Amino acid sequence: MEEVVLRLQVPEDLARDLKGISKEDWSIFVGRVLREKIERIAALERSLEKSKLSQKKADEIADKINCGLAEKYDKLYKKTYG
Amino acid sequence: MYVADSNVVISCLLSGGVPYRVFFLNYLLEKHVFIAPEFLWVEVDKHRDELSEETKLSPKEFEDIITFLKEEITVIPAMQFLDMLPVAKEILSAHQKDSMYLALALKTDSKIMTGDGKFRKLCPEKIITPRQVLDELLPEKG
Repeated sequence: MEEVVLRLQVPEDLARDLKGISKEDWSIFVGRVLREKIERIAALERSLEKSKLSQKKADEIADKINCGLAEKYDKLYKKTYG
Repeated sequence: MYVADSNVVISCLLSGGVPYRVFFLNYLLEKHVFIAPEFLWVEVDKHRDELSEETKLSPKEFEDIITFLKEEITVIPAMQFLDMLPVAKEILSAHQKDSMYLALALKTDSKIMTGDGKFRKLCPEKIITPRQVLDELLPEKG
């Protein structure tokens, strides 16, 4: 396995607490956090590859959302500022 | 910090699109903060059935993506930028349905990430495309 060296900047108080952690434990911790994040993204990407939504339909729905949102903001502005 | 509009949010549900790559990469790199006007998700939820039907994703897959986007986009309370709405409307004139995004961008001194061409024409200095944000996130080519 290839070794990658990571440099982190942490506050002094935290650095004191972290000093006791071994290099091996650091490696396991960072590896796990990275793996969890990457696995989540990979799963979402796999799902999205199957999406049948077209650009045209996406634009139509976005437009409807904007109209609803704009209406809400107009009402809120009138209610707040008269 | 960038304002995300509905165009970008809904385009994240397209297969092979640029917007979702922006959010995925930023999730790993944490370089940018994305914000949106309050009630955006309320309005998205009103079209949840239609979106789910169009994507043909399973309910769980659809929910996972929406949950991810909600985590990545911070909603800003309307009262924090509502006073800028008239200024935004004046700038956007014929395209007022996007005024809440511009009001938020003006108040927070940020740009709006959108693929909406009309929006870009009306206030180019306040717009950034998903492709441009993606280029910012990707490592510089040596």
